[in-house]
Amino acid sequence: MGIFSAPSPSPTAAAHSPGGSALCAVDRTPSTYIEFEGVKLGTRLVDFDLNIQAGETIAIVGPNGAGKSSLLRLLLGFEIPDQGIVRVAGRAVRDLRPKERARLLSWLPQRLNVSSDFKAIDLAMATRYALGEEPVTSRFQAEKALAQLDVAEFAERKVTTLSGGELQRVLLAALVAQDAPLVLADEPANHLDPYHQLTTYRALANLARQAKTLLVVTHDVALLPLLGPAAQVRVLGLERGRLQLDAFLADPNLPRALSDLFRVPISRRADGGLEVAWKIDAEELAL
Amino acid sequence: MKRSPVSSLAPALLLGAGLLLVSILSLVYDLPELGSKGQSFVLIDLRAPRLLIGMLVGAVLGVVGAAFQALFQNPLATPSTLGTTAGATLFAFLGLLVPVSHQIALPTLGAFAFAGALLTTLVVAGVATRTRTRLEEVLLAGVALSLAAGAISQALQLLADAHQTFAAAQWSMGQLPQIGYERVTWLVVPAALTVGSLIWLRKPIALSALGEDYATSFGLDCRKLRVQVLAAACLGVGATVAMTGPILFVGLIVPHVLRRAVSPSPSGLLPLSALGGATFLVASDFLGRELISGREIPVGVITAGIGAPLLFFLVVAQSNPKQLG
Repeated sequence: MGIFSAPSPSPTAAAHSPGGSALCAVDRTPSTYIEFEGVKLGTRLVDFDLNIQAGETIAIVGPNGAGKSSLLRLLLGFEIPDQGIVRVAGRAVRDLRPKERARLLSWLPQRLNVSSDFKAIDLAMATRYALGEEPVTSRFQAEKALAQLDVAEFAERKVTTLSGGELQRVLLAALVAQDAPLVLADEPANHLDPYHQLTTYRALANLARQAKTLLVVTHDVALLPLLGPAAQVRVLGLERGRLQLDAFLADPNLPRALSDLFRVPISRRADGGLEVAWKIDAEELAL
Repeated sequence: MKRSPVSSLAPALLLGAGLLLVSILSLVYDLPELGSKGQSFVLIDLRAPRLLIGMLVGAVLGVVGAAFQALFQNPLATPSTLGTTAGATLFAFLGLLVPVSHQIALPTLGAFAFAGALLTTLVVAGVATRTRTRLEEVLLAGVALSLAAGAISQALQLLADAHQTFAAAQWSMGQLPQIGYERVTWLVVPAALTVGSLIWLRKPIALSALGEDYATSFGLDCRKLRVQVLAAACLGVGATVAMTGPILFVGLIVPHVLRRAVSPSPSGLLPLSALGGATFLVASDFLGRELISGREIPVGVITAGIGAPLLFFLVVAQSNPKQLG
């Protein structure tokens, strides 16, 4: 059961940002990190403690209703904890103004509320709203991000006319354009075909390589190895609002722990990938 | 969200030219033969102030409609669906029906309508600013309030005498008044404040159409924006309802038509809707005045008469299977 105990987080003494006031207190240096302290949110999260260092790649896994998305929603300030405190870069999320938060955290939404007025370039520019810069600068950065995700050709297309996979790439470009040090993604590939699942995870891994702190919520364990080197991807397993598993992807005991968490057999392939090893019962199917 | 200047300016210029054209037309068309003195009276004292009121009312309704549709991410969100119009109407009815005297002074009526718009908007805003309220619930609250206010308005008519009821019914069809500049000066300040502030907020309003969560994630203060937009809308709509009675369909139809016709940038839609609303209302009023000679059709009847079938057509035309995928 060794891997069920959380790796000891580094001391949290630096929790209080040095500056203290206003915008400049938002810290983009490697001390940036995430902290949950005694957080309770209804029954979705119970007495929840967690520390994440800057630059870590985190996969949050667990069955449906385990509280995975609630973690992200608390970080984004969409919800306020009943008890406890959530800190980002040493500052309580509830004390951050929306624009300050947007300079720290970016979010890849699971689905976009499609508005027919928006072209891809508008979407990529929208995420730079908090920076309060000239439209020319926003446009330049947005075009750069679209090119980086190979969707420059869609810039002037209405987002309503894009396919699911194309829209996902545009949303990823918008995420890149926002250029925040923390990147949150909630089931980023749930609704995509295998090819776009692959490209989405590769794009996220690319952000992780650029020293961004990456939190990906998923229940698709097969995709985890795409996030980065197995020794660096930290897997957090949630069940009924509690942290049940905290181990690196390379941990030899991980498949067994994941099997317990998801209540299906999960095994490691020879190439290090994870797979759900269903047994298909021919007799049962014949019924 | 700035386009190249050409693409955002061209539709604005086109609409401006259209507005100018219908304005001139509504001023000089079929001017009665009354000698130069009589003509200048009709032109300057009757038609010009009416034209100005039409522009102001249309601009307010157009821009508020565009702002509500973005903010509530719902193509049906308008001052009429959010209860603003119904609240203003109910209180204006109170002003029209309750006092014993048949004539009620305009400032009083305006104050009543504004109070009604404010009250319903405050209730809706109260729902809107609770932390975990979803926008659909805000819209539902608005619809419920509208229906309740409409029912009370009807009940009030039963209590009034025939003369008052007729006046109220006539007023509730929505028409542009024909009396001097006093009303223009009453309307110009709230209308300018509403149109100006919503155009000023065009960028955050446009971004809010991407959904509150997503917009919040890149730094939009959605709760603050809700309050700002509702307050601005309440001011303008309250003032226009007091002036003209409820005029429906302008806020609904103008942004839809513009979106399809010129596909402006999301934030560019707001100033264009102000221009388009002014043009649509002035044109509708002109039609209502000239369609049947010697009899005026209230402008609210015209806007609904054009707007309702147009909306139906747009919905049918839009529901092609490609959009569903």
